[in-house]
Amino acid sequence: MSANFDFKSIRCPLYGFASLSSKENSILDTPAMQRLARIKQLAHTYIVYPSAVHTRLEHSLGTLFLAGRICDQLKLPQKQKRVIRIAALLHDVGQGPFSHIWEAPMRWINGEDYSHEDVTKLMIRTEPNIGKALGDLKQGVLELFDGGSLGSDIISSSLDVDKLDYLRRDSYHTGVAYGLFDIDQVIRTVCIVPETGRNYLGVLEKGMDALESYRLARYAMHMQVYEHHARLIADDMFLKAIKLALSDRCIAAEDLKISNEDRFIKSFLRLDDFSIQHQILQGPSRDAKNLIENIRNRRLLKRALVTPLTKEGCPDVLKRRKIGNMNKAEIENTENKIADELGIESAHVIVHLQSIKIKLYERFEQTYGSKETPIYVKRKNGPVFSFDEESPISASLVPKRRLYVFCPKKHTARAREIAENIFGVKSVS
Amino acid sequence: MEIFELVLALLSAIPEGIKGRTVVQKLGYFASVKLNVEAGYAADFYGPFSSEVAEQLQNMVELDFVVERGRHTFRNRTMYNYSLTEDGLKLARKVREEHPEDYAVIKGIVEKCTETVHCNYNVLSWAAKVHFVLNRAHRTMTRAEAIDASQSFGWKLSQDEVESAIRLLSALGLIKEE
Repeated sequence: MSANFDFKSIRCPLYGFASLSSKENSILDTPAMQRLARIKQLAHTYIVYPSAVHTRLEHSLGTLFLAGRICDQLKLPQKQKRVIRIAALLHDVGQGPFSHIWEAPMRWINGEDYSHEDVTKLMIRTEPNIGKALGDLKQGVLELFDGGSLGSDIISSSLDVDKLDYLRRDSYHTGVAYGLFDIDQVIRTVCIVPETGRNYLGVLEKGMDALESYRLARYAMHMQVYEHHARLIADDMFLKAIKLALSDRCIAAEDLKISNEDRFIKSFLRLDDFSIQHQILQGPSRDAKNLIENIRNRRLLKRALVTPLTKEGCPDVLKRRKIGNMNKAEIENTENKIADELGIESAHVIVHLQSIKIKLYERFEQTYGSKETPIYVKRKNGPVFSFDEESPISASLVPKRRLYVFCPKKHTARAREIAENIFGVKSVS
Repeated sequence: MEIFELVLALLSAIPEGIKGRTVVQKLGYFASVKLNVEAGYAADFYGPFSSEVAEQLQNMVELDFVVERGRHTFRNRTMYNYSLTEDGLKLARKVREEHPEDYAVIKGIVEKCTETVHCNYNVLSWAAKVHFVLNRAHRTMTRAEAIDASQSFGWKLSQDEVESAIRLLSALGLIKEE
């Protein structure tokens, strides 16, 4: 049966129209997918960039569109294209409230190996509405999330449709122009690279400049948008609220255990940005409620201390090493210490160690610790090479680590003194 | 010894710095094997690769313990050189004081690799690949078997490359030739 991808067309501010097949439309209409319309793509970034309220749903449609374009460029058979497009549409169905922030509480409950992709696979495997819409394509779609194939590279790799869409989409909605890169040339120059035992998604040599623009865009968006300190504060405040809500059972941890599959799916489908805030606001913890209300009304904790973890910012070598390698428990202990000395609840103190993991041209595996494939470049004459290793733009620009301490405005001066004493550093502002 | 300390010790053992990420990775591989340190090495495009070693190296650059300098080579490649800053040297001194025996092993590896193959990244890669393959086989192998086995990791090694690798591994005391 040949696929007709023009059953329905949906407008997209980036691509004009995204066309869907009848099956794709059925998938889109499932409650699991429609839930993504209630999850912001960039979590609390709207606090800094008010237009950044776009959702996971439109991003999912965008990745579907781009997946189709890449399949056409690679001249993949229609059957393969169908499965890849659907996988692209479903790739974020496992995202939780406020997107990436939800990874943290899920790890607290399910262990450090957890990723939202586990939930995506679970939903595809067991959620009845998705299963009904997928029909006999379910297995093929699932396999694309296991990695190790050309199709899975299109969905998740250093050059996947997820990144290609969200960079431009986030740029569009925030109004930050750095995310605009030459996507048409990138797509025009994708190719299949047979290497180390399988086919990889690669790029022709003439696409290297476009690839450079893509990597620069990724770097700039991280520096300007994703790592903005106001967003970090709001994210951390939200996480504190979640922690409090879990400890007083306003949110039941058992509902978030993936191993209880049926129970997990039922409760997960109810979770979105609005429902989780509502749940906490109706819950017993006054501190958790205050944190959520403060986020909603942009009453963020203020910066009491910021110091780069460099020779100048933290001259003591041993202290710098210790601070730079603090784990979660150590950070929490320090927050408690500062809060005790200030005479306030620890919910109102945040110690944040910023580490920007999207250095300009770092090794692909280092990006968020993910296991992405290399971007292979196919020469007209000569062997295939890895883009990371041969990019001509210098990699000497290395964002440094920064230590932040945040607290309520009236305590910032005192908090700064306490933090400088504890860490043995001097705040730069 | 932690990975952070292992990488610091490697850099300390080569005062002029280490030329190339591949060299850091492969020296780190041999050090982790000799010292029985679990560094999470897995098969990768250029041979066994450890994200932990890569991350700790990056960590040190971000914390001003290591300087990373990118330079363009005649083959249009970008090579990254790593050397310790003054603060990195201070920290490395501490590591040497706290782990004198481990440091001696690391220094020995670096000296052997420098003497025998001038820390050439190709030979180091071949040697690491062959050792990785042999280590997983848990048995002796002929050269032909090693070449075959390496293909299962996506590595294509020639007879000459295997010979160079074996000479280095033998010098490092990591294999016994029969």
